[in-house]
Amino acid sequence: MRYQGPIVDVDVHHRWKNDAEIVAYLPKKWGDYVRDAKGSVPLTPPWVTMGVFLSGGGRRMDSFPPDGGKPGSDYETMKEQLLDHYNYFRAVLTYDVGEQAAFPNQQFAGALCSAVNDWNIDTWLSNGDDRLRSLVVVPSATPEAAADEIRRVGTHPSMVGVLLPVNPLGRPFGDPIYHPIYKAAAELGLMVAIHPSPGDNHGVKFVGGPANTGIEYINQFGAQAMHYISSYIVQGVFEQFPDLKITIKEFGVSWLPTLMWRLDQNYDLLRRESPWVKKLPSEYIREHIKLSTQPIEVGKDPGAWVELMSTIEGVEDMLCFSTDYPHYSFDDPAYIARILPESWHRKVFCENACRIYGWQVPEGVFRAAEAVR
Amino acid sequence: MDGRSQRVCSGRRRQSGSVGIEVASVDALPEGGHLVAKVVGRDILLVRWHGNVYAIRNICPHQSQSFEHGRTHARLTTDSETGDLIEMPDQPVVTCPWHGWEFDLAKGGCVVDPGYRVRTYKTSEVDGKIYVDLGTPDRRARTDDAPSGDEWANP
Repeated sequence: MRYQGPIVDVDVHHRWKNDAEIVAYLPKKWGDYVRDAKGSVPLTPPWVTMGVFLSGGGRRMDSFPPDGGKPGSDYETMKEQLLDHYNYFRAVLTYDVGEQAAFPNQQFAGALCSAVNDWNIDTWLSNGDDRLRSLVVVPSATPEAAADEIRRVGTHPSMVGVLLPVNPLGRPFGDPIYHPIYKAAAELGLMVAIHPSPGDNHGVKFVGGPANTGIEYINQFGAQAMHYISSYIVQGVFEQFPDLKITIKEFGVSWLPTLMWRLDQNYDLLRRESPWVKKLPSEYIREHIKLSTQPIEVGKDPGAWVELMSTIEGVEDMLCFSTDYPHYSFDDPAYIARILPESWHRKVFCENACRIYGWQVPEGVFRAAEAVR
Repeated sequence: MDGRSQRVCSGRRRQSGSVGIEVASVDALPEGGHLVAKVVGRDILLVRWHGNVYAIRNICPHQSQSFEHGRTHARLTTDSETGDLIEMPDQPVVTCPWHGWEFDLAKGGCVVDPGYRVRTYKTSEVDGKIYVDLGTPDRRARTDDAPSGDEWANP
């Protein structure tokens, strides 16, 4: 079934054209730290090399802008391929993918995040396109400094949340060490988004240690997200910050029925383990968690996926549409519309995201779309 | 994107001695090039590989994306004993620019899952022109798993 209504895309990756743009925003001390004879040392941390996933380096091969820059660096290309190509109401810009937040030099990571946020506000969020919103990227290895950064730039009207793209401390995100971040976000009414990143290969300990290959890394996203959500519940994040909303971006969704079932099955045990578990875990998840649709795990029988997800009552209230543009795993809105039941379209493509970001649902756009059907 | 991404108007009628519909000049499709031609309302991707011209319906069956900005390369197979990758230079595949799904340019089957297919067409070059025969699926390559005529996707 087609969907022609307004779209909110909660995961669009933008980036700077070259590192010099960001270096210009660094304090002199840190600018001198990274400048070399040719420009600057790379501002992406030296993670374990996993090879090039696909021909486009993990990007859509048609997304390289005409100026020779990297995908996601050119507004006009994004406008043509995404914002204007589909009926976009909002796009939430999530960097590419912000792993600077976990640069091993934690002091530098803080300065780098501030530079990235300032660059973002001065460029993409000031270009006159009211469809664009973004997230505060924070030095997540130093949660108090991260909270300071949230309070510094989180009041900007186009900053609608906080991005945790990497987990540099190797502890699940519900761990109390991260709570200053949630406290600051809750104070400002900002949602928190977590998103996988190659940087996780350092901080998150998979079975036996970091993944050796890209395919091992990508295929454990679901396990990672299940651990995060469980820790949010048992570590009391939602009891301490009752208005906080978390968006789980790009971790997939099909593991959710299993997680909710198992947590509820172990409710009595969890209550003994943690004083924070005061109601069924599935209730916390319904109340506080949204998941982005991409990557949607659908094979040749979309109906089987719908049937699986429908084992969660009200799951259509928990999903938010995302494309992952310009990454290679991009999901076209028309493709997702064919998979989802029509009765889910309005919520998943627009309303659920509007709810967590506090936006008025664009009823006029819905009416206009309905008129042309 | 050398020699690629050129759209042409086409759909001219058959010429004497040719098979199919004229879609482009030979010069418009250099080695390794991609060219999208609209032929009787269908977008068809033309690819020149090792001198031959291949024609494939320009819609990926996954998310309906055009192959135009994808990449054509030799099919890779695996040595059953050593696990080494082996290039099959006479079996070109086109890669979808979005998710990297690969399709055999001669027969249209998806490399990973042959259950997904894209229609391919027979081509010919006559007097400096490229012709596409809409009525004939291209079977010039291997025949070991060639589908029957009614199995072609996106006819």
